[in-house]
Amino acid sequence: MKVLPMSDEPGVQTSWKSKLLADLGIKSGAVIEHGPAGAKCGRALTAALAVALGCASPAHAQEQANLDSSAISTITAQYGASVIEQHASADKAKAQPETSLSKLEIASEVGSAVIDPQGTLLKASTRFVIGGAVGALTDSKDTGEQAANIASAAIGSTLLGPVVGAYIIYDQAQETYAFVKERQQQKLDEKLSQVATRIERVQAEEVMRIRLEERQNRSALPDDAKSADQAALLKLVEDFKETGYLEPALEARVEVEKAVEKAGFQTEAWYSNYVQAASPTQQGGTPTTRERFLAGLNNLNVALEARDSLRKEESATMQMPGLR
Amino acid sequence: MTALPVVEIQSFGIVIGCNEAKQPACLILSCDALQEGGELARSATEAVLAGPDLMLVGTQGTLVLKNVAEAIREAALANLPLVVIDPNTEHEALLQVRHEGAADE
Repeated sequence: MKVLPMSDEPGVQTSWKSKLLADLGIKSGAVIEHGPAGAKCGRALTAALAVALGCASPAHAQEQANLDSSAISTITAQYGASVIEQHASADKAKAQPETSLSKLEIASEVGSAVIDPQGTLLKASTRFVIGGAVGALTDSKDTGEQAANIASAAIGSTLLGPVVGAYIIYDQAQETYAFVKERQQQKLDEKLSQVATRIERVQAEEVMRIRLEERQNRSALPDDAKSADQAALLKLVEDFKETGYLEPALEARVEVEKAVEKAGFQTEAWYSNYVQAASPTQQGGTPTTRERFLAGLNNLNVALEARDSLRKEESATMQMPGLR
Repeated sequence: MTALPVVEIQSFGIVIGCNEAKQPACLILSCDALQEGGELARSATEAVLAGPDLMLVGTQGTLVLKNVAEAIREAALANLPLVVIDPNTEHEALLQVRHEGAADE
């Protein structure tokens, strides 16, 4: 005789599987407990389902059903917003914010779980399973770990083939948590990038403000100090014209003057020299050192290329003299 | 003729069975996952959703599962069949759930 999953006697293993469930293509399920002894019933049902789906031998199922720990009972999905909210509030002290948030979010969607107009009923059912999983997992700090324990306790680590509620719960709980974490990280990243952009802008604005303030202060300097400053800048511009290297000191002043020019105010005298030096169309006049250098480099390149192409032609002639 | 027994139970478990696409495909009840009345469930030939209760009517009597969860009710209203299994006797039966309210209207 077959073994009762809830019996105390060791079982005889059979290979019975439910044909009806196989025909319906049942691969997983959400266990819903009802009533005060619902947890016990849920445990027994999970074990029975494991057998019916061919995930566990009756002996194995019995072993699992007899487990006194709360592990398997946590498989059972408790339905209903009120139930889940109840869990959420009861465990508010224990639960981490993320967990209780998930519970509430799910609770609000559970109502629509099975009511798909097409009768496909789906999304919700997965949510529903997650809801059960999250709602039921109250003792664990790490839901993923707990769910993994449930899965292994319920169907055994070596069992393959169809899965029972535990697996889907594990799967969905993992996905949910991964999703929640991903979304939080994404939000955090967005926030940080917004802040970073803002900080950068504020910094740039602040730098410009300080430079403009310095410019203001310079204009209040005595005349000889002002002319010394202008002379120093003209020297920098000359150097720039010669070498093409923009000194940071000059660069900062150039930026200020650009802003001033853009705002439509009078720029400092040296700035026009700089604009002229920086302009790419410098026609006429004596070429600068830099220009001479660049021109020389260009000539050298042209000469080298010409020599290379000449060599190629010569070698072709030598290799194929008969073609001439 | 003696009246067939009517057993009402508050504690039980029901599974919403899902297919590979994780879509609910049926309700599953195991005869050993009930507070009592496993025999009645095993002999059931008809399932009736009556208000908040799910009744299993059979040759041995009627088992009333009191106040089934809303999800179960909705699944039944969506015409998901009820599969009663009993791994101990290797019994299984597919029952279409009749909606009593719908029939009356």
